[in-house]
Amino acid sequence: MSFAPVVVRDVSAGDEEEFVLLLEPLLPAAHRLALGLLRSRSDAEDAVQSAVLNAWRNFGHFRRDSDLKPWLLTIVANECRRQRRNRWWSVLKGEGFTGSAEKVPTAADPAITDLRRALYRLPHDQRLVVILRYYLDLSFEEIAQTAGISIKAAKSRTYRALERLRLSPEVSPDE
Amino acid sequence: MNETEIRERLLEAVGEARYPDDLPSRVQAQLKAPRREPAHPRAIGLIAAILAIAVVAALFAPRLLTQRTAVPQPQPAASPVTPNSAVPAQDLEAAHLTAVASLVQPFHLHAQSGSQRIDLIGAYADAARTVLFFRMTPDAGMPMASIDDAYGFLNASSSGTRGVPGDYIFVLDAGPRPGIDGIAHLNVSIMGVQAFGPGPSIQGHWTFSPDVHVQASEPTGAYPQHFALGSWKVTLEVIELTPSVVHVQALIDGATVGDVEQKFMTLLDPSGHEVRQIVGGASVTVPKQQLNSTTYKSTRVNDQWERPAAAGTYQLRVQGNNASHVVSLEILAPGASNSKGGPLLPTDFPEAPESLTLQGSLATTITTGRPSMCGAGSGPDGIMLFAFATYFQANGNWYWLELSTDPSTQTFKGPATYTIPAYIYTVNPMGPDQPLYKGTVQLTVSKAQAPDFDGAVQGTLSGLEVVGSQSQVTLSGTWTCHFTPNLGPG
Repeated sequence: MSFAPVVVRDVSAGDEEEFVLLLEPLLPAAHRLALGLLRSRSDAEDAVQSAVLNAWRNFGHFRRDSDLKPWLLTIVANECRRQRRNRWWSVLKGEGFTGSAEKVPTAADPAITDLRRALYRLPHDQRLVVILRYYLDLSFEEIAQTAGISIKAAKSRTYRALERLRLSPEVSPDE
Repeated sequence: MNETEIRERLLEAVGEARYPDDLPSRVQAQLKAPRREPAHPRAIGLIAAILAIAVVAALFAPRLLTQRTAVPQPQPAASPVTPNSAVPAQDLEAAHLTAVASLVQPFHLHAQSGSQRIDLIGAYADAARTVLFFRMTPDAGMPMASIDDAYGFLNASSSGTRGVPGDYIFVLDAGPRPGIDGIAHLNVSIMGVQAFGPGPSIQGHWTFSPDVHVQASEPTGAYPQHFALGSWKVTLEVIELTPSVVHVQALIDGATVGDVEQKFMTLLDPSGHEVRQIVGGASVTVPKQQLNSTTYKSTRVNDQWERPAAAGTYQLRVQGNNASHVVSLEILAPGASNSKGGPLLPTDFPEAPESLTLQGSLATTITTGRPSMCGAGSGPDGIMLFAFATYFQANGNWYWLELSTDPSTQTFKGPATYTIPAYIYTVNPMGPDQPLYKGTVQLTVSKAQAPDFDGAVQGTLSGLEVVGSQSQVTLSGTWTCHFTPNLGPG
């Protein structure tokens, strides 16, 4: 999956429809990120809606010559982290993938079950880079922008996360 | 594994996402919806503060008032050994824990997913087993649990049974790894509920994080570790007495899982009667992907019997491959070994300055160790060996590093560099517990003038089953130790 940069130059803050039209091409990526981080489809949709609301409220702080996608994905990631930090979320929700139209991960393959469990035990920052890299297919440059770190740190963090997931990469963190 | 393979595996683990087409319209509707702002935030804050004070006062006032006149009570022991009223007797019986009911910790934890509520009402753990008592509301069936401790996933066979209606007992045939305080910090994850008998299963996610006291094991006396059954070579890897079971783990080289019969091991009491077996299982010793013509013929057997109440000399009868072997086990009455003094804790060993670095899956710098083995010695065969082993702490957990020459392949001849096996173990209240990493290192002994020894070490250790073979630890640096009579390898 790859997305062309969306650069905002002449959108005025104050028009909701125009704002949503601007964000619409990015919503599939935002939704995919939230689903990857939260597992639950309904929670992911909630997170995206909350993130867009936050983005709308903070649009005044957005630099108009910047790429909109990393900015939105950062807000989505923060919203997902906020949701996971909420104690009630972890106790009361977490129904997982229940939608019949989705490919439901089954527990048939123990290795996949172990991987899923390990993924959701990762710290948020490590899970974020893994999801961005391997679930959204972003470049390390885009990952760095979204996570607010250097490209080298993005590679290193991804590599460490893969080690923890026992998915030994063929590349070293400096490659 | 290349990036494409990682993507594929992650996609399998997370699942494919279907983008909801109506999400943009919902987002737009939400943006246009009137914002709900608190009408009088200061007033609401004041009311909240008053309510909070009232709640705190209601909770603590009775305790504060009664404390003035109450007779000081002893603090509860760290081990929550309390008579158990939370877990019904029928549940304890189903879990073979009636005799040690007082060691079952009551819990009052619950989690809800959808309409299914699961209560964790009790737990018991020792070195051989972890038992969790669940109450299901409504009674939808058996929760399918997986358990992690502070060191990771507990990979072992498991079984389930019913207690009183609505209660289910989940038994993992492995004990959790406790910290030095004897407490294991568990993460219990339930991903589904399986009807007990015909019926639908429920998917969901329920999690619990109980801190469970891990009951200590007792010694069984000396026993021969290796023997042959015809062409099979049997290694008794573990024989332990926990408060609830006798646990024996054996490795059989030369036998496939299919070759090992159900009655491979039998425990007989002093009068020759079979002790009731509660767990029996045989498995391959490597992941299925690594099975080949050699590893296929290596089988690990794990059996458990109810802990006998009577002390005596019991017979472990091992039979297969048209041969049999009997091992005598001295089994104590439960609790009988308590008067003999507790095991040595890491902190019972004197500190020694170290300069060791661990990198990789277990990363730490060891500046202070507590060596438990230090120096050279010889056994009955007269072959000199050298051993250095130290307890150390990393990330709040105790570990044990063991570096020792192998007397079957080499003789210690004073200061030099030796290629030797190295291990890193977890530590439980009885001492070193499970090996986590194993490797071959270069051990340099620079000074070997008793009682002082020092030198350097360099090498890489690979993860064993518990942490996975992909985990690696690189060990380097210098070590020191000071021999005292409490220390091995004498």
